[in-house]
Amino acid sequence: MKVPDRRKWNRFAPNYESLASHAAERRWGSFKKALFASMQGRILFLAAGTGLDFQFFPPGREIVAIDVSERMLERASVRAGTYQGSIVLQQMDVRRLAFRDRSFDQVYTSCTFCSVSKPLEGLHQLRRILRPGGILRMFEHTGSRWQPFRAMLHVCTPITRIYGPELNRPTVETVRQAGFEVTNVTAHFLDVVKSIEARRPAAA
Amino acid sequence: MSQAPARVRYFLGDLGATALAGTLAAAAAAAVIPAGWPIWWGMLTGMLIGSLLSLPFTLAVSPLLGMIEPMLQVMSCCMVAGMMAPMVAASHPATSLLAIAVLGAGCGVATGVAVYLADWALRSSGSE
Repeated sequence: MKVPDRRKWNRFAPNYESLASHAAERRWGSFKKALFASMQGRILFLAAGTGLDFQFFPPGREIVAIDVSERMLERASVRAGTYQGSIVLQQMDVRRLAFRDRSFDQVYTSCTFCSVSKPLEGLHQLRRILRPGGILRMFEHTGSRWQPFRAMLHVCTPITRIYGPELNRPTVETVRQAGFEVTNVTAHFLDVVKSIEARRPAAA
Repeated sequence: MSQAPARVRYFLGDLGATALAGTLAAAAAAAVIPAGWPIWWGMLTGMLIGSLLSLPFTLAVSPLLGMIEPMLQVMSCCMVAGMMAPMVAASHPATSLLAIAVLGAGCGVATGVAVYLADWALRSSGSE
C-alpha cells in the first residue's frame, strides 16, 4: 500500500514519539552524536520529525531543518527553541527542495531515506543544493548484503511500509547513483544500521 | 568512545526478547497443529505460524528495544521454533509444555548468539 509521504507522517505524528523515540535515541544516540559532531558551515538537516535528534547537535550551529509533515514540525518547534544555536524549520519535501543550487555546505539525514518515496529523486536534489565538495552525512538503516537477512527484510517491508520505513533499501548504492562519491560507510548493527559519508564531487 | 558495554546490554535485551518470542511461537505452533499431522506438514505450518507471529511481536517490542532490526533474529527464531514444535510435542508428550518452553528459549539464545556473531562479522567485513 502506497500512502503519500506527507499524509502518512501527518497521520503518524501524534504517536510517533511513543513508537520511535526514547529507546531508539538511547540506542543510537552516541552514533548520531559522533556523526553530527562534524557539522559546520551552512547546514541542512533532513526529516526533522519531532526534533528528537536536535539533542545530538553540537551547539552554536546554524541549521535549516525540513520535514514533509507540518504536524511533525509543530512538535519539533518546541525542541528547536531550546537548541543553543539556530534551527530554522521549514515544511518541504526532499524531492522538491526550494533552495538555490549549491547553497549548503553540508547535509545531514537521520533515518530518512528508508521512508522517502523515490529516494533517487531526493538524493539528486541534495546533490543540487550542495556546493561542489559539499558533504552528505547519513545515519540510515538499509537492506543487507547477506542473503538470509536480505530475504527477511524483503518479507517484512510490505508491512513496515504501511506505518513508515522500508527495510530493504540499497541506500549506499542509491547515493552513488545520485552522483555522490561515497567516502566512508560505518556499520553499527549488522550491515543494516550504518553511517554513510559522501561528497559531491568538486568538479561536478 | 567505546560502544562495547552498550553493545552487550543491547545484545542481552535482544536475546531476551527473542527467547520470549521463540517460546510464544513454539507454544502457538504446538497448540494449533494437530498431533496426528504428517511431520512435514506440521513443520511447514509451524514455520509459517512462527514467522507470522514474529512480525506483530517485533512491532510490539521495538519501542522497547530501540529499533525494528532485531526482527531479523526474532523472525529466524520463531520460524525454527515453530518448525520444531510439532516434533518436540510429539516426541515428549509427557513433558511437552516444558519441552516447548525449552525449545523456544533455546532457539532464542541460539539465534541471538548467531546474529551477534553475524553482527561482528558484517561490521568487520569492510566498506561497501
